[in-house]
Amino acid sequence: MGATVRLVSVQDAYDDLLQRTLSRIPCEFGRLIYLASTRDYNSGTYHHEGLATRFQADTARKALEIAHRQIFYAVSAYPLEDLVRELETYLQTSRENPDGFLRAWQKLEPYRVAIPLEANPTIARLFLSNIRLALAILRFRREGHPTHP
Amino acid sequence: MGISIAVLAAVLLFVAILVWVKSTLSGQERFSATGESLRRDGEFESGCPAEFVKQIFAKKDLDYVSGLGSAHLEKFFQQERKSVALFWVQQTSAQIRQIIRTHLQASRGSQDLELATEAGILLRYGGLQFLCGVLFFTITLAGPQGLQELAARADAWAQRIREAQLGFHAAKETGRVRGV
Repeated sequence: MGATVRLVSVQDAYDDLLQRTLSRIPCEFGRLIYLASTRDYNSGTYHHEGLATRFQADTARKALEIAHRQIFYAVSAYPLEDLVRELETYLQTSRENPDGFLRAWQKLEPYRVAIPLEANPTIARLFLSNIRLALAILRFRREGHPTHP
Repeated sequence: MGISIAVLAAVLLFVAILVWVKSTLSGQERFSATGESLRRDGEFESGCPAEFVKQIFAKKDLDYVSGLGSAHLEKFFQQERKSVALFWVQQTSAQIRQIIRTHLQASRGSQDLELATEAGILLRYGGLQFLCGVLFFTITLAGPQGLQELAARADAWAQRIREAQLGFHAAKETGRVRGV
């Protein structure tokens, strides 16, 4: 009985997260980065103030963790062409200078934090590799001539 | 002429086997150190889902990159995909070796072993390690594209070994409960 109540509660928190927060982010890659940003760098635990207020902190944490894992696997399964499109949308919505954005992302690789803690290592590798490729493709397109990625 | 080609092929094969053994051993050490391939509670991970294995070895992404008309991008893509594919082969091989090691340790203390089942598991294990060796060698030489079917077969064999091991564990647990 207790477990059922808890599951329903996590499902409610998850639905709430999708409807109120994630649906406002225009691309799946943006949602992934957002969810990763709700995780504490030191402890690896998730926190979302609004969600924790509406539901219990533990329930909110579980919902965030599930959403993060699901979106991570969805983005990792994208064909490269779709990922390039996603990254392009994310770049546009970030309102950063595109060249500066691409340079920073290629050098610092901040997208590494988007990998969930318990992700399958091969999928994590594929994700990182695909992002590196997508960034190189975007840069190639912006420069308009072949470059070393 | 024929003899020198045969000697060259033998040397190449020997070097490939050495590289393969070295890489799988280092891979295994790395996995053991980080606990990447096995769950903390000792359960066996289900491995990389088949759809991702398919994606790693597929030609679709290569076609897309080739269409961009940059030799550098294409080379970069080949390097990246090769690295991911080799990682998958090493991980699969190391994970299955770990499963078999655990299985052999567990079966030493078991009194109701079925010889046919045990032989089947070991045969499948030998076949899978051979297949991983072939995949490793071919990916290193020519890249992962075009090896989709071979990779799918290796993945299916690995999955069967994982399932057999899970079945063995379940049977052992049931026996333990009954014994109590």
